[in-house]
Amino acid sequence: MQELSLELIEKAGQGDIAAFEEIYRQTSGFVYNVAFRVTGNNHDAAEVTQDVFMKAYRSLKNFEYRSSLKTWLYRIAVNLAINHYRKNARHAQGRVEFDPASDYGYDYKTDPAAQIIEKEERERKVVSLLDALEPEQRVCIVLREIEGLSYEEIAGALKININTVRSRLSRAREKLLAFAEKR
Amino acid sequence: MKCAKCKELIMTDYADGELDQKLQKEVTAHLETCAGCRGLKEALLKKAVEPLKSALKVKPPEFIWQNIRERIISEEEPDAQSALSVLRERLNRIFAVPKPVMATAAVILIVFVLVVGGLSIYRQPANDYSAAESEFFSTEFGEYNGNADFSDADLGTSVEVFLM
Repeated sequence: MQELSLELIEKAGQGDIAAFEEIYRQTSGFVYNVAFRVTGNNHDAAEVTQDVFMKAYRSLKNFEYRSSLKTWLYRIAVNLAINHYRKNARHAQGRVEFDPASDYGYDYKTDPAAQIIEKEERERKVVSLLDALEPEQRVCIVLREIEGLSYEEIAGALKININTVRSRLSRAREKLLAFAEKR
Repeated sequence: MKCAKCKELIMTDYADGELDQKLQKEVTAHLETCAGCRGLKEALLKKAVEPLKSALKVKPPEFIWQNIRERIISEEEPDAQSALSVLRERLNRIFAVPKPVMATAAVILIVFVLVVGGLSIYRQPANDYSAAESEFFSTEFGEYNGNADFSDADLGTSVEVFLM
């Protein structure tokens, strides 16, 4: 993902909706994916994504450029996704049932059946692995394995020390290994 | 390199390709000779790393942006309406006079009205007196104007006699 231009950020901060839409188009994929992987379903991911961008729009005029806008958005996305997950976890224990048709937008009419089955199997594995982790560990794993962020980028997005990133990843992987070996 | 250190690195920097060249070589050398660490590396990559790397990337549905756009517009509409009330408030603030100043101004106005009103009340008889005086001089006494030989007997009182 390329860095957003200063001019674009300033325009959006002054209330230019077209500029803000451009920022949305460039960053919403990341925000939605992180929200989707942390909350576990597309309904909550959509809600979190909307909240992230509304919060960003309202705060953009006060953005101080101490970190990159993307890092700032990552941080808002991660925090809101974790909060959303925790809030919902209190009402409904466990994750929402895996629903590939609505969550991944499969087209059962055109996609080859074998391909769909394979994708579904892969996704089931991903969901069950992530489900074995605590939200903070899950976020670290999602940022690293799925979004491909470096340790430094993860530390910036989560506002934590780089060694904390290492220890969270290490513990998360120990848990994932134990979980996979039990099955 | 000892197994404990190697395992620690396998779980993080080695699995993520974040090791510098020197450490990378050391870990690789250790893995060639240690079946335990090699087994851990293979299990980790196969069971915990690769399945997650193959996770699908999901596209945000278009309705999300439409909802955000609508929320932004609906939040800004009341702002535009309130811009007028903000302007009115600012004008009020600019032209606002503090209450003590208003009270003092009111007291000064009342005093001024009373003083001016009072003076005009006192002036009224004085004016009447002047009018009566000039009438007197123009009529009864006036007939003596320019007449030097009016007699003392025509002046009413002794005071008048004295004053004259």
